[in-house]
Formats: sequence, structure tokens, C-alpha cells
Amino acid sequence: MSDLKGKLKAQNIINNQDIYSISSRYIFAVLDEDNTIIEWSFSPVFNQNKIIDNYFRPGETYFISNSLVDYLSIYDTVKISSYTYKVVLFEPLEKNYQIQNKYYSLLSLTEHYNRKFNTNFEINYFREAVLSRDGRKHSLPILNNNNNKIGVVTFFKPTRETELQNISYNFDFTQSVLTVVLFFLIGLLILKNSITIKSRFTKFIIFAFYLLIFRYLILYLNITALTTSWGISNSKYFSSLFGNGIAGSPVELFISLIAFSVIVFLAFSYALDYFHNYNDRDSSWFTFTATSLTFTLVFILSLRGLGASVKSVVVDSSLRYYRESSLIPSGIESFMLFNVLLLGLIAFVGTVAFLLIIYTNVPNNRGRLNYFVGLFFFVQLAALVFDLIQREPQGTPFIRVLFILFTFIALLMIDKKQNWRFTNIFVYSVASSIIVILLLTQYNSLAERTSLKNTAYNLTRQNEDLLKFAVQETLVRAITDRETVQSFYFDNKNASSMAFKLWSNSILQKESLGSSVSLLDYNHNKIGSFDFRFIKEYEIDWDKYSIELSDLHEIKIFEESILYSDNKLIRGIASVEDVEGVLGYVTVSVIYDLSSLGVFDAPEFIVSDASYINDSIDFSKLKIFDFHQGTLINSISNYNLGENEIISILDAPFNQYGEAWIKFEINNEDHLVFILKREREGISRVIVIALQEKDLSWGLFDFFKIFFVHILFILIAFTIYFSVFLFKYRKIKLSFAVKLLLSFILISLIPLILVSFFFRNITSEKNEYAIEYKLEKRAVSISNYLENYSVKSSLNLNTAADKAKNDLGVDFTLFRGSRYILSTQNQFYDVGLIPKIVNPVAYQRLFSHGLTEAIVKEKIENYSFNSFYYKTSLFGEYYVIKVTDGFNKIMLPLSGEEVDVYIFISYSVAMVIILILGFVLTNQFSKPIESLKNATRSVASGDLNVEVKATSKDEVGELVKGFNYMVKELKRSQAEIAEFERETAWKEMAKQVAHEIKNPLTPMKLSVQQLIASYNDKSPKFDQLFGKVTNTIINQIETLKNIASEFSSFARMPNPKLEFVNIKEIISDSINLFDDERITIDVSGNDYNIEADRDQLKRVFINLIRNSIQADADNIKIKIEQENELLYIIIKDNGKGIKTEDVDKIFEVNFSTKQYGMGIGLSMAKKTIENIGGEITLKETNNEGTIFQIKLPLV
Amino acid sequence: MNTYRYYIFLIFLLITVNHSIVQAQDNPDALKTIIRIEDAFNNGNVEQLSEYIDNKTYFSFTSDLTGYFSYSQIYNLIKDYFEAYKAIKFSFASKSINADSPFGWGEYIYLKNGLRGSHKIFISLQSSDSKFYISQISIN
Repeated sequence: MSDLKGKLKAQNIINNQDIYSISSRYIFAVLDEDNTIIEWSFSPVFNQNKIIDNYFRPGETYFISNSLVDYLSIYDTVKISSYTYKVVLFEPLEKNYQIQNKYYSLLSLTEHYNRKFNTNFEINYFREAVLSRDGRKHSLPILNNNNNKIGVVTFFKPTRETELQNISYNFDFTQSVLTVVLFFLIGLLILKNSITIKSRFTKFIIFAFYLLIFRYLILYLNITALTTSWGISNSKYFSSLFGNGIAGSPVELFISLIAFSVIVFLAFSYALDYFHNYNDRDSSWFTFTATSLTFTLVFILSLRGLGASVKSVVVDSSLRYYRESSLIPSGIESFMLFNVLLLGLIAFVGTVAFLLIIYTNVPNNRGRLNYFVGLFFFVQLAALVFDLIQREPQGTPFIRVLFILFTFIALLMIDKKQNWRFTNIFVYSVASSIIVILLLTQYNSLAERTSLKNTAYNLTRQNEDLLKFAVQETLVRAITDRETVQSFYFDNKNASSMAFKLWSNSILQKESLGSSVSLLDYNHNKIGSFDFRFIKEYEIDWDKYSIELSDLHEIKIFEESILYSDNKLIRGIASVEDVEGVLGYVTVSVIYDLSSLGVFDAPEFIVSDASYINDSIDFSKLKIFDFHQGTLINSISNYNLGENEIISILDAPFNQYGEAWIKFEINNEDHLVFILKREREGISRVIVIALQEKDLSWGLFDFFKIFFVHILFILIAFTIYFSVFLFKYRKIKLSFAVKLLLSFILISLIPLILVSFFFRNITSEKNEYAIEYKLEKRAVSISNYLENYSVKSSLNLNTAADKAKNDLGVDFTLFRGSRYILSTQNQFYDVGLIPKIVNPVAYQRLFSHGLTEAIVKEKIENYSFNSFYYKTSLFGEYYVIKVTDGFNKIMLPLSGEEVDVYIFISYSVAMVIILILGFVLTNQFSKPIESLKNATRSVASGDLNVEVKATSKDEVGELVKGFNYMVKELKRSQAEIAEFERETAWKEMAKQVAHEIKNPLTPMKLSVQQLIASYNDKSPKFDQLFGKVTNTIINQIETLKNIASEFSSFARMPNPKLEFVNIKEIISDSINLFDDERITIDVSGNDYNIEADRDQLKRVFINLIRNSIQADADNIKIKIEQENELLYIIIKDNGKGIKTEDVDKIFEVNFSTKQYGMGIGLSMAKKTIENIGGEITLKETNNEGTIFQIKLPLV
Repeated sequence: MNTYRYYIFLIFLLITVNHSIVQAQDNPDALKTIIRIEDAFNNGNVEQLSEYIDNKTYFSFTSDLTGYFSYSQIYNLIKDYFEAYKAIKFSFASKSINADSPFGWGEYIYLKNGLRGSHKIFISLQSSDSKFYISQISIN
């Protein structure tokens, strides 16, 4: 209030824009000194003289009610210049009516406290209310800010039973949560201890069992009760009886799918390991046949299970994913679409696991491709046969073939790649999404068929019994409602609002029945009423019934025929009494209309959702025809049926239930038609419901609408995964190809999005202009019509207005200044749903800014519409004519939703083209880079025989040529350097040897010369000299021998550095140097430790792998096996093999089959292996491959 | 004289009883079904009620629970309803077992949060494969 007063003082009261900011929460009014409303908010719902309760002083809060809504209110005065104004604020607290449709929002303080305190509250919003004397209840006065009583609140005392129940509930819930936590901890314990279990199969069985028990425990303990307020545990959205309730609601389905997906992924990883460990082994034919038959059957049953599950998602749910053309699904729809994606992924991954098991057991590994193709056709054939013997196959042949094709592509991807790649998961998710969407689409088509039938039954569902029940129930409610009694007592109660309240809270509104509720005083004069699709001529004629009803003290229900019609009125009347006697009467009348086709002539904001009961299709897309006794009496369609079409309808092949299905063309478009024949009240009625078959563009729209939602889920999952990865490893590795593809997509998306926004905005602007234009035309027509009648006839304004509505077919409201005069839809004004005052913004434009027209957006509940206010001169005075598209819809050539559909379809197709083209182009651009990368690694590991093919003539081609030239030069230089070094080494060695040998030879020569001289001289010292010389010679010979030994040691290899190494790790490190994607290197077997020199052993494997690659092998398998205390490493390739004549020489030094080979690779390998006590042998070689075996002692 | 009155009374009684039997025999299945449904609501027994639920039944309760639902959905919706509103008493205040569409309506007295309340329930039946199924349940 202070804020509002401040705003008013700051600016003029009139034209004050600031004050409307309060309108979002409060209703306000400003009155002048004459108590005339001079400023008001968007929805004042009070008449001028009832706006303030003068019992209370300014600044005091109090309750005030207009029968429809109870408010908390306050008024105060504000002095501006010399004038004193009254400012009133209202805050709505309680709506006393309800409208069963999507536009209505509940507002109830009582309901809020009921939920909060878990008991029944009753709030009386008037100061005269008395405290309850019911001993079971507490009753307290509600005091305002001045401690004056303004109302009474009464609530049931918490009973001992309720308290105990609450405690018991809380206790049970806590217990349940603790049980779940405990079970979870048990699971962690099992996980920890499972490391000791060697068998993966046993581990899998234990986990699967544990997860199933956990799942049922969550169901049994009703943990999902936590989610009750979110709607995801509401059975109406989805509910299946499968598994005793594990799919009883969307959230239960979600939890079950999470558990199943964990089981399936565990099974898949087990199958994957099984495949990698045993796929190179030839199985027996018996094993292959048995696994093929068993797992093919399980495969087919899984596919059928998937179909049945998706069907249940459509049939056992009230969600309709294709009904609205809105692109953004609601929260619950998104949740169920995620569940559907999970379903598909579980089925897909599970069936791929089955295929892995079959494919592991092929009898002959050399012909794997043949077995692959054979298995594919076998599974297709088996699935076809299975479907033929089913009474109701799940899915279509196309879906079946596609599913099997996708799973076999997945199998091929695993066979070709060593590791479980990320792209695999993405591809599986996308494939699953495509399959489940196709299934959803198929079952939705069936649901649409069923819904045609439902529509026909619904249109014939109403019967007299239901209407009598509706009348009875409304009257009972009326006479037991305290407020009904009060409406007879208090003048300020709006009896029409009371009638509306009774009507809205009854089945009459729920079923949108053409009906009327009236309040009559003691003398049978009408004091208020509300009519819905009820013409004035049907009002009750008291003169006809006054004698029978004059002394009425009970509910009386009777029928009344309608002249010249098969319809009738079902009426009910009851007296409203208190201790003083009869205060008045309530009457309810319902039209029993046999030919009713639903509610199309009533404003959307008041019609119940239930009347559009076709659950799968937008009702407006149906064409409905109604035949009575073979004659078309009613239709909802722009199309007139031809004679032939009528004949085909009436002569349709009806079954025992009077149902028939046919197809025919309407407006050159194929339509599916359901016909229902019923006999009722002696009248034969044929209802025809026709639906246009969807064309390709709608089919695409339906598909992509859900596909993009699924892609979004997949991307979110990947983003979460990458975020965790980034957090753990501090980097994300994206290849050049992926970066290029993402760049393509981003660059293409931006203009697409901009164009979409632009087109959408243009269409919205055009539509707004079209609406304004059409409303203006209507307003002008009405103005001219009324002006003509005021001049030419003596009709009063009300009659002229009715004639205008009938002749022009447009509803309107008339104001004089800001004051309401009349309306052709007066019942909504009289009850207070629409304020009887001009919109304040429109008023300002028309009367302050001097404009003649103003268009504003208005709302009733949450139903938005456009109102056009037209100021005109009628009968010598200024009037304002208001026309809206809320009562009379305006058809636009292209609605906003249709624009979204067309843009989305184009966008989706464009995205697919961009992705395909982007993928192709990216591969083309990145291929040479990838080849260069692999070649560089090979060069780094010592292989100088690589050559990259240059396919393009651009910079990349030049780079490739440059690289090839560099490698050739490197090779040539390396050879020259090696030769030079060899020569230098030999020269040096020879020089050294010559020098070292010369040293002992010189003293030997001198000694012998001395001996010869002594012999010739016959020296007496000859014997002594002989001994000395021989000694010298022997010493020098020893020296020569030492020289020779030292040189021999020099030529020997360096000593190995022995340590404990992991053989699998060494092999993996060696393999990592070879990153050519064309070559597959598989390793299988467990980890073992041996004692060896790490580097030397690594060089052995590098050597063997390189030899295989150089022998044109593209598939190398390395298997590690243990037998007793020995480790066997088998290296098998599919290269061209070793020539028979070379087999014995391969381990010789200097033997090489390559032009530039040194001839020391295998010989060094052999030396290294033998140095650590092992053995390397060539087991087998032919033109299909070579097998080496390394035998090593285990530690 | 008294004997005559006695005979007249007996004849009258026989005619009335016969008429009732004939009337009941007009649609004995419908009557049986109505009684069983009444009993199911009286005891809050969804299993008993589920015998008469067809694959597409119109169900109307609150504003967001109105429409045609499948067997599974109706089963769970009614189960949830009985759990939230525990049955104390139900009986049909009015029922009709004519051949076209037998119906009945009555007051369902329940206990919720220790407090009693009541809902008006309307049920109509429809024949299918020589058995009666519930075609519509309206709870208000």
C-alpha cells in the first residue's frame, strides 16, 4: 500500500504507468471523492459501491468476497493537491469455483493449509462468522492488523488416530530409507569381495541377482512416494501391471530400467571379454549350432519384448507425444521419452551381446566373413518366421529388418576394433533411438485408430441416466452449501456468481453439458443464473409447474420435451431452507441432445478438457458427421459429403457391435473413417469420424521431434561423462576430424537458427496485424449495424444488440465511457469472470490519448486472447465496442505453431544433410593428416619404409610429398652413415689391432735375432739366452692372446638389465607405436610377470610386429597363455608368410629378405630371448600367415 | 372371508415375486455385476473391481484425472484412490439394470487423514462378449 501511494504521489494519478506494475500480484482501484473509480488494474471484479467495506477504517485489513473469489483487502486515503483519493488493494486468496481445463489455476488458501497440516481447514471470510461449537474442531477468530475480527478459521483437532498414523508413516518411511541405504552398503561390500571370485560369469549372476532384489525392495518399501508431488509417480501418465508393479508409474519404470540397464551392460562386457578371449579359437559345429539356435531365439524374443514394451508405453499412458504440434515436450513427456530411449538401448545392447556369443563360436575362423553373412540371413529368416506364426507381431517388417541390420553393424564394429570405443556407445544410442521412435510412431498410429473409436463412443456416451445423476448431484451440493443459504440472506452476494459457482463445481461443467443453474427467491422470481449453451427459450416456466412445486421440500427431477425436436430437458429443483423456513429455490436444467457432437460453440476458457476426449489426436483435425435415420443432420467439417460417400457410409460392413472401418477420399486426401451405429430412444444414429492420413512432412516432423529430444539426452550424458573425464584427467582429447566436424556443424547451424528466428518473427507480426485488421472490421460492422438500427427502428439497445449478434455472428460488449452497458455474452460478465469495466490501458488510449481504437491482450484464467476496443458515436453519445477473438476465433492462414512445424521439418532435414556431408568431407580432409601422423610414428619407431600416398594437389598434398622425400633422404643418409660408421669402425679396429699386435711382435723378433746371433757365435751364454728368449716369446704370445680376448669381448652385446616386468604391459607399449587404423592388433590373455630386460624385450616384439606389417599383414593376434611354469606367447599374423627356402635362415645374423635390411633383427630377438632362458621358434608359415612362438619361464 | 383374503394375498404375492424373478431374469448378469461392483467399492477391493474393467474405460475424478484409460491404468488409478480414500461404506442409492446400459450411483464414504468424507460415484456398464464391463466411472 505504501508503495502504491508513493507511486501515485510521484506522478499524476491519471495516465500513471508505474502503478500497473503492481497488477501482477494485486488488484487495485483508485476512487475520487465521489467514490467513482478513476483508476483501476487489469481485473477489478467489484461494482463501484461494493468496493470498500466501510466498517473498517483506512489502513485496516479485512476480507471481502464477490462469491467467486475471496480477497484480503485494505484501503487508504492519499492526498494529492487539494484532493483526497481512496486507494484500495485486493489480494485474492480463495477461488470458489473451478473450471476443468488447462487454463484454470487453482487458488486456495484452505487447500494450502490442508496439505501443510494434514487436516481439514475451513476459513470463513466474513466478520460475522461464528465460531464452531463442534467439539471435534478448533475454531478461532482471524484478527486483522488492528486486532479486529475479520473471519473465522476452523479445523479438525488432530485425533489420536491421525497422530499415530502420522508417526507411523514417518517411522515407516525412515525405516524404508535406512533399509535401502543398508542394502546399498551391502552391495558395496559384495563388490569389494567379488574381486576374489575368478569366474566372471559367477560375478555377473551375483550382481544381477542383487540388483533385482534391490529393485523389488525399493518397490516394496514404496520409496517412490517421495516423488508424489512431482507427477512422475502418477499412474495416469503411465502404468503397467508388468512385474507386479515395477512399471506401475513413470518413476517406477525409470528405476526398473536403470537396474536392467546395469545388468545388461554387465552382461555385455562379459560377452565382450568372452569374444576377445576366444574368438580366434575354432569351435565345434555342435557348439556353434547350439549357441546359434539358443541365442537367436533369445534375440528374437528380446525384439518382441521391446515392441511390447513400447506398445505399453503408448497404450497404458495418457501421454500423447504426437498430438500437439508443440516442439518442446512437457516435463513428464521428456521423462517418459528418456525411459523409452533406455528401453531401446537395453534391448539393443542385450541383443548385440547375444550375437557376440554366437559369433565367438564360429567353427572356422578363416571364413569369419562367410559366417557373419550367413548368421545375418539366418537371424532375419528366423525373425520373419517367428512373426508369421504370431497372432499379433510386435512392430512392422521394416522395423524388424532394420533392428537386425543395426545390431549386425554393431557386431562388425566390435570385430574390427580392438577397444570399446566411445563412438560405439554413441552409435548404439542413436540406433536405439531410431528403432524406438519408429515403434512409437507405429503404435501411435494404432492409438489414433483407437481414438477415432473412442471419440465415436464418447459422443454417444451421454445418456439420460448420467444427466439425471448430474442434476441430482448439483442440487444436493447446492442445498447443502452454506454459501447458497447466505446468497439469499445478503444483498451483496451476487446470485449469478453463486449459480456459476454451483455449476462449475459440478459434473455439468466437467462434461460441458448444455445446462443452466438458477436461483429463485421465495416467490419464484429469478435472482441469478448461469447458462452454458442454453437458450433463453428453455428457461423454466413457473406457471407450468407452480402448483406442483409450490410446497416443495425435497429434490424433484422431471423431464420436459422440446417442441419440434427429439431432444428433451431434464430439470431438477430443490428448496433452500434454514431454520426459518424456505428461503428460495435452486433449479438445474440440462439439455439431453441426442445429436450433440461436442462443444464447439462455447468459448475455450470455459469448456472442460474432458469434452475433447480424443486422447491421441487434436480434436480440431477430425471431421465428424452425424446421421439420424439415414439423414445427415449435423457435421463438424468444411466438407460436404457426396451421395456415393453417404451410401458407402450407411452400407459399411458393420460388425456385431455396430462398428465399421472404411477409407475414402475427402478433398483428394485419403481419410481413415470409423463408423458407429447406435440405436437409442428408437432412433438409429450413425456417427462418422474421419481422420486425414498423415503425409510425409508430418511423418518426418513426428520422427524428428522425438529424435532431437533423444539426441539432446545423449549429448547431455556425454557432456556429463566428458566433464568427469576432464575433472579426472584435466584434458579432453578431440581428434582433428571431430574438431573439423563440430566446426562444420556450428558454422551451418548459425545461419539456420537466424533464418528460423527471422521467419518466425515475420509470421508473428503478420498474424498480429491480421488479427487486428479482422477485429477492427468486426467492430466497425457492429458499430454501423447499431447506428442503422438506432436511426431506423424503435428497438431498444438490448434487442438491437441481440439482432446484431445473430445477423453478424459476432459477440461484442458495449461500454459507455468505462462503464459496462451490455454484452452478447453477458453471463460471463454477470458472474464476474470478466470485469464490467474497460481495460485500463485501452481506456487511457481512447480517452486520454484521443485514439479511436486500441488493441490489448487480456486473460481469463490463463486463457489469452486479443481484445479490440473501438470508440464510436452511437445515439449521440460516445460508446466503446469491444470485440475479442476469445469468443469468436479468427482463422489465420499460417499460425505460429504451423510455422514452427515447417521450420522444424526443414531444419531437421538440413541437419541430417549437414551431418552426412560434414562427415564425408571431414573424413576426406583429415585422412591425409591421419596418414601423416601414423607414418611419423612409424618413422620414430625406426621404420623408414613407410610412404604416404598423396591424393590431393593442395598444401596437404605438398606436405605429404615433402614428408615422403624426407623419409627417403633419411633412409639414404642412414644407410650411408651406417656404411661409413661400419668402415670407420673396422678401420679403427684394424689400426688398433695392428698397433697392439705390433707391440709384442717386436720384442719377439729381437729375442729370436739375439738367439740366432748367440747360436752363430757359439756363445757360452746360449743356454741361458735360450731360456730367456723362449720365456719372452711365451709372454708375448700370452699378450697376443689377451689382445684377441679383449677384442672379442668388445664385439659382444651389452649385459641385459634384468627386472620383473609385466609381459602384457610390454606388448601393449610395443603395439602403441603402431597406430595405423588399417592394421588390427589384438592381445588376449592375462597379465604375467617375468624377469627380463624391458627395452630388449620390447625390441623383440617391435621387431616381430614390424616384420608382420612388412609382410602385408593387417591383422595380428598376440595371445598369452600359461602352461605349467612356462609362458607361451603366440604371435599370429595374416601376412604373405616366409618362403620355404628362407625358413631355416631367418634367425641367422646378416640374413635379410628386405632390400635394406640389416639382417640382425630376428637374430638379436633370438639372443635376447635365449638370454633370459626362453626360446623363440617359427611354428607355422604359409601364404595366409605366420605364427611365431616365444616360450619364457615364469617368475 | 379370511381364507379368501389369504388366497388373494398369496396370489398377489406370487405375481409380485414372479414379476421380480422375471425382472431379475431380464438381466441377471447386470444385477450380479452391479452387486459385485458395489461390494468391491464397499471393501475398497481393487482386485474384485478389476474383473469388470475393460481395456478402455472412461474415468473421471479430479480435473487432471479424466479421460479414457487402459486396463492397467484404471487398475492402478483405482488402487491409488482406495489407498488415499479408505473405504468405510458404499452403496448404490439408485441403480438401473435395463438392457442397454445398466448404471448405478451412490455415495462413497471414506476415511482420509482420520477424517470422514464422501464422494458421489456414478458407474455405467456396457455389455461385451456376453459379459458386463464398466464403461464409465465418475467420481465427484
